[in-house]
Amino acid sequence: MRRILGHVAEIGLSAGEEQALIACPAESIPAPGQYLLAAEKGAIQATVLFQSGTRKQGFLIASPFPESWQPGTALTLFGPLGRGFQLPADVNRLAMIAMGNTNSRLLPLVDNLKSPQVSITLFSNAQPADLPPDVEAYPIQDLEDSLDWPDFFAIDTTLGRLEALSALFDQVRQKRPGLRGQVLVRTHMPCCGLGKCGVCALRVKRSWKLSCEDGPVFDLPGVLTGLSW
Amino acid sequence: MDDLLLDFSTTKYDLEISPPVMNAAGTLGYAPQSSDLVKFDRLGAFVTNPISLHPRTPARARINQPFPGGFLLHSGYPNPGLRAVIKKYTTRWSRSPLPVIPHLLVHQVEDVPLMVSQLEGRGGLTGIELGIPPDCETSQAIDIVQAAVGELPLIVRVPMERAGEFADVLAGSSLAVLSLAPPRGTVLDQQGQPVRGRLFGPAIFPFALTAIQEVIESGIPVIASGGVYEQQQIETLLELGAIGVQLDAVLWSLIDVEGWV
Repeated sequence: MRRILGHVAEIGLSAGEEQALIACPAESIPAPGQYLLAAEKGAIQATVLFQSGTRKQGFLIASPFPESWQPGTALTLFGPLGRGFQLPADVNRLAMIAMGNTNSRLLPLVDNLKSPQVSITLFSNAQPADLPPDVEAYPIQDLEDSLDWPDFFAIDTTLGRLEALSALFDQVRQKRPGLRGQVLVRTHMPCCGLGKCGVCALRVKRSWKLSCEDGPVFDLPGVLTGLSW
Repeated sequence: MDDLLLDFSTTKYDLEISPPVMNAAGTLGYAPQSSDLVKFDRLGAFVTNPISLHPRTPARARINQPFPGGFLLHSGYPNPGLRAVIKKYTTRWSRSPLPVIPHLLVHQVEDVPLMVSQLEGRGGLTGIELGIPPDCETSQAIDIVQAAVGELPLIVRVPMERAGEFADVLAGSSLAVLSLAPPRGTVLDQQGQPVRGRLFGPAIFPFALTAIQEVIESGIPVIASGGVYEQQQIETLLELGAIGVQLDAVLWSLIDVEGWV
C-alpha cells in the first residue's frame, strides 16, 4: 500500500443527500465498512472516507466532507484500511440499521450478499436514497418492535451513539444470547492508525480496541458487552 | 541532513543522533514498524508513545476538535503500562533499525527510579524522554530529572507554554536536554462547549519559536517541535539553535516527509 493520487470527480445530490464521487484506482476503493484516508494539499488532518457505492472511475462518499472540496480537487489517498463488514454466508434475514444522517454506507452490503434470497430490512430516519427494490425501509422508531425478526444485524453508527445502541439492544440480548451482527463505529481517527493515540478507542468485550486498527467494523455482541462494563 | 548530529555533549552523556530528526512521543506507537506512510529508516531516532508506570485507560471523553490552523486532541494518553510495554516490545526495540527512546509519563518522583531501572540495559534503547506533567512545579521537575539520572541520556519534555520557566531551573545542571510538549488550550466543540486538550497543527509553530528562543537563551539544549508542517521549518529551527527536531501531527497528515530528512 502506498500513497496514491485521486481527485474529487463530482459533487451532487442523490435523493436529497449530498454525495461526492472520488476518482481513484479500483484497488484503492474501500470495501463496505473499510476506510480510506484522503487529504487535499495543505490539509492539516486526513479525512476518513467510507464508500457509499462504487462507480467505474471510483467510489461515492456521503456528506459531510470538507467544504473546501470541489470537483477537480486533487487528493492524496492512502488505503483501504481497517476491517470492513464480513457478512456470513448463512444470513437469511438481514436488518440494516443506519443511526446517522444517511443510510448510504450500508447499502453497498446489498450487492455483497452471496444469496439473492436474503430478506433485507433497513431501519433509518435518513431519506431513502435509491433503495434497491427488494429492501424494505422503516423508520428507526419501528425497530424496537422488529428486533426479533433478523438473524443478522449490520449497523452504521458513531462512537457517540453507542450508548443508545446498547439501550436498544438490552432486551434483545436477554432473549437472544446468540445475537449476531456487526457494527461500523465511525469516529475521529486522527493518527490514521499509526500512533495508537487512543482517540478512537472503544471497549469490546473486556478490553479496549482501536477503531482505526481493530475496526472500524466490530462484532455487535462484543461491542454491547463492552458497553455494559 | 545526514551530516547533522543531535549531540548530547553538553550533558554528561555521550550520545549522537543523526539525522537530528525524530518523531514526537505519541505519534507512531511503541516501536518502529514497517509503514508505507512513514519511512522509519529516515529518522534519527524513534520516540515511543507515553508510557506510565501503571496501565491507563482512554479518557472518558476523547476529543479531536479542529480549529483554524490546527486541531485539539484529548485522549488521556492510554497505554498498557510500563511492564506490559516492555514485555510486548522489548524484542522489537532490540531489533530496531534506529535508536529507540521510551517516553515515560511521570506523575510522582517516587516512581521514576523504578521506571528507569526497568529500562536500563535493554537492547536498542539509547535514551529516555521524561514527560513532565503540565501542572508540575519547577522544583518537582528538578526532583524528577535527578531521580531519572542513570545510564541512559535524558530528554526532558516540558510544557511548551512554560518552556522558559523550566529551562531556567534546569540550565547548568548538565543532566538533560529539553524537548517541548504540545501546548494545551481550549476550543469550542461542535455543541459550542469548551474542550481542553493538546494543540497541534501549523498554527502552533509561532508559539514553538517563542519557546525555543526562551530555552536557547537559558543555555540549555533543546529539541524543537510544534507545528512543523514544512521541510523549511526544520531548517529554520536548526538554524535558530535547536539541536534537533521532533515531528508530530504532520506524520499523520499524508504529507510525504520522506524527503525532508
